[in-house]
Amino acid sequence: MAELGSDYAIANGNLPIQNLSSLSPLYATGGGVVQTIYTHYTTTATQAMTANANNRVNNAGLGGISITTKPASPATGASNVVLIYARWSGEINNLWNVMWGLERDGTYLTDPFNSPGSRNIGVLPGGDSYATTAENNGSTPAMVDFWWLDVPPANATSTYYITCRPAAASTLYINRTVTDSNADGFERMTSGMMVWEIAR
Amino acid sequence: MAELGSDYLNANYIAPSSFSQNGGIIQTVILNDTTQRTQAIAINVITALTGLSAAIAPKRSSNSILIYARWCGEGGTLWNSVFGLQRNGTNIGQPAAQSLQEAGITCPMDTYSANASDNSSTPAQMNFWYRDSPGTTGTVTYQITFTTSVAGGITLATNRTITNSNTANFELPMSALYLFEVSG
Repeated sequence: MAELGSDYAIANGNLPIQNLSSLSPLYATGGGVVQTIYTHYTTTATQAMTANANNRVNNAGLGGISITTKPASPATGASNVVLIYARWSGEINNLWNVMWGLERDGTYLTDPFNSPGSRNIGVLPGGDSYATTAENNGSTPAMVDFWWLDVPPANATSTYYITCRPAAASTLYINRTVTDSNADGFERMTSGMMVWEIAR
Repeated sequence: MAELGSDYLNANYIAPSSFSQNGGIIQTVILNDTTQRTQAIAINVITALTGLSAAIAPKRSSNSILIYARWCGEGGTLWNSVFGLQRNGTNIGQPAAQSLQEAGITCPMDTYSANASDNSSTPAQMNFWYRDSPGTTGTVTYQITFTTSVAGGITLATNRTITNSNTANFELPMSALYLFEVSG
């Protein structure tokens, strides 16, 4: 028996509903993309970041993304999983002391360490586009992007936000550089978030 | 006639008449680019990168295209550059910008920190996702673009470093452009 996945659609293109309505619950349901949500942020913005805290990035330049998941599978009782893609572009002072993560409705998702002590934690640091011994905090864009796998409540709406955790109080610049002069060398960019609900 | 998205997999417990098919992956186009090349980039000109284009014909005009773009290589003074995307030669996903600024979807990231940027053996990379709604069933071509504000322009090396010597610290990365047609 063929496995019903996305490639089945590729091979067959459009299929009539009646060909699918008689499918057995035992037919493969795992792994298919149930829904895709993408939000593209193009507005420039700034937002104050508190030191050593998981600051929710919720400015209009990079807000959260919401998904209403499908009901849990009656066959397995399992909720679907979601893959979250998060990308920030902009600039922040001392980028090398900033960690990035993710939260769902106020719950910080990305604390994998049991005993971090006073260390700043997160999924990963950002990447700069400039190479010197002293960072440029004026015209040099930076970015971070990552994926995260989560199991939110089934049949409910969840909202995900990128979190920013700097070692010192900072201003986060979103989709722009710090100085943002109207001159070449002062780039403007975009940010984005995507959620894939994956069947289980 | 319904179109088969992956969410149809849940049809076992949702009546077909009420089934939401928004979000399933209908077809996929994969471009893995390993060709090593260089390309002259003029200052302040949004330039489509050679070899980094892929085409898709959506099965429905209401479907959207999810695009994953990745570039690896090297170029001079990359901190004054941005990457973007074109559909059939038209820029998409661009932010609003002041008249003299470079606008793009994202910036590159370098792998070296020293007194001066190394423009010889230091690879850089960028990647992003973007969702587009072309509104057609005709073939649409997506292409990664690059813009620099360096006076005189630069030479951008793709899938190689600039010097590209046959030694271990001259890396050969690869670039990619993936297209996913998403229902709804």
